Amino acid sequence: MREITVGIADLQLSSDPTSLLVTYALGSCIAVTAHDPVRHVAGMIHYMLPLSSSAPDKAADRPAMFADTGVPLLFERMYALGCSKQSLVIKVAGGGKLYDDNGTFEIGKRNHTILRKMFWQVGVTIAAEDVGGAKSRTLRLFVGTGRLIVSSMGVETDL
Amino acid sequence: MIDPERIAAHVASLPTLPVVVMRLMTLLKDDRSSAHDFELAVRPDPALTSNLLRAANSALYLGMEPCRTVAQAIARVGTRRVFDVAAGGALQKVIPLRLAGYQIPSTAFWLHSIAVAVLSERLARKAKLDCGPHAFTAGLLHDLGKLVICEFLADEARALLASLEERQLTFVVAEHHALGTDHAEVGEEVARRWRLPEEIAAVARWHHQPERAPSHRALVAVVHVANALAHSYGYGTDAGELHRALCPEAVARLGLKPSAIEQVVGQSFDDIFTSAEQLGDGTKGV
Repeated sequence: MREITVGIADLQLSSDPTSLLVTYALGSCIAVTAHDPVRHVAGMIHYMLPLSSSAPDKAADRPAMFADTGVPLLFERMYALGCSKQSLVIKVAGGGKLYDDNGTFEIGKRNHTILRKMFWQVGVTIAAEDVGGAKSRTLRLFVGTGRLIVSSMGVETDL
Repeated sequence: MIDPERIAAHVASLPTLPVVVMRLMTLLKDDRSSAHDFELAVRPDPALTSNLLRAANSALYLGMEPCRTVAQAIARVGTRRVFDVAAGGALQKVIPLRLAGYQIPSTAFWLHSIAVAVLSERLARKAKLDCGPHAFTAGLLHDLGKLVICEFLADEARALLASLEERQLTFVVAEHHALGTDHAEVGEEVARRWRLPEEIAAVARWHHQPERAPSHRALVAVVHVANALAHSYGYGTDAGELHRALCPEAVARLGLKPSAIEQVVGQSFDDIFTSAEQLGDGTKGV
């Protein structure tokens, strides 16, 4: 099966039903996956930061680094392949954190909050999510079936 | 528990730090040294010469005239970078192909080391903290101890990972339970054996407990936070994943808002991948 790797600050799509999209070591970063069960098209983004205003010069050549530039781009690219908002199954994973009792570092949480806000504003429903905790996650999305496997600390679960 | 003598023997068996790195360290500290002094130090070392030329002709300097001599390369990258290239070369020589106890290949260890180096240098600048000239190298070498204990850890790996989940231990504490020592303590020994500057040894020793550092506290805090960021963003994630503690005092010492930290992270991204390639010897490509 052809594996397409989604790097850090990267976005990939596939309309080959025999392929799968993989992203490794999602720490505080977040991956949003989109799957169209009718057209057998899938997309995945692995973004690092909530807002492109933190590094505007990067937003132009690497929009997938940020939630506010990357996530809309994921949807646009899916629409360009004929998908509609209603047909997409959206799942979210990542946003983990270190042991941080005082909540000093809210990197993962800030990444997640912005996403929920954006989805709420445009009326996107999240079908499933696995977010937070002292966890690093690896995701595998099968383009043909939409099956999404999350692996963390050697344990695999279906999301 | 591992016999401490076995670990000590392993530390002693590491190759010594190349003379040229020590020489560059001295030159860097001396205000009177010139670019020519750096050139004289580099030229007798063929490996460093080729790494330096590769760094000076890397993608970062695309479109510029190719550098053919050590003098041209030094003029282009600057004397500080010459030292970074030399320290990177020394580190690469002692990275095993795979760090068994941490379940990562050398490429992941290299990427993590570079990420912490770049983030340390940029955080120090952003926080306007005086960390001395070695923020990059202190970040680069913070995990030296892992190179020694990774093979001892391999036998304990399963029990160690289970204890992370069940007891919510941090990876470094779990290491200590399993071995009777940890990569921070061993890292300090390696740094001393290599006669690295005091602050680099302090960072190796205290980067997981910055609140306990007796000296160089600003630099230790910076590398602690850089390390936390590198793990959070998945630069060379190892078996310990996110099982690491963040020290609130260290974050407070930097005095940076979350948005400022995110700025540093965004602006470091390209630099991390470019440096990993530029300072690499070609065998640890990412």
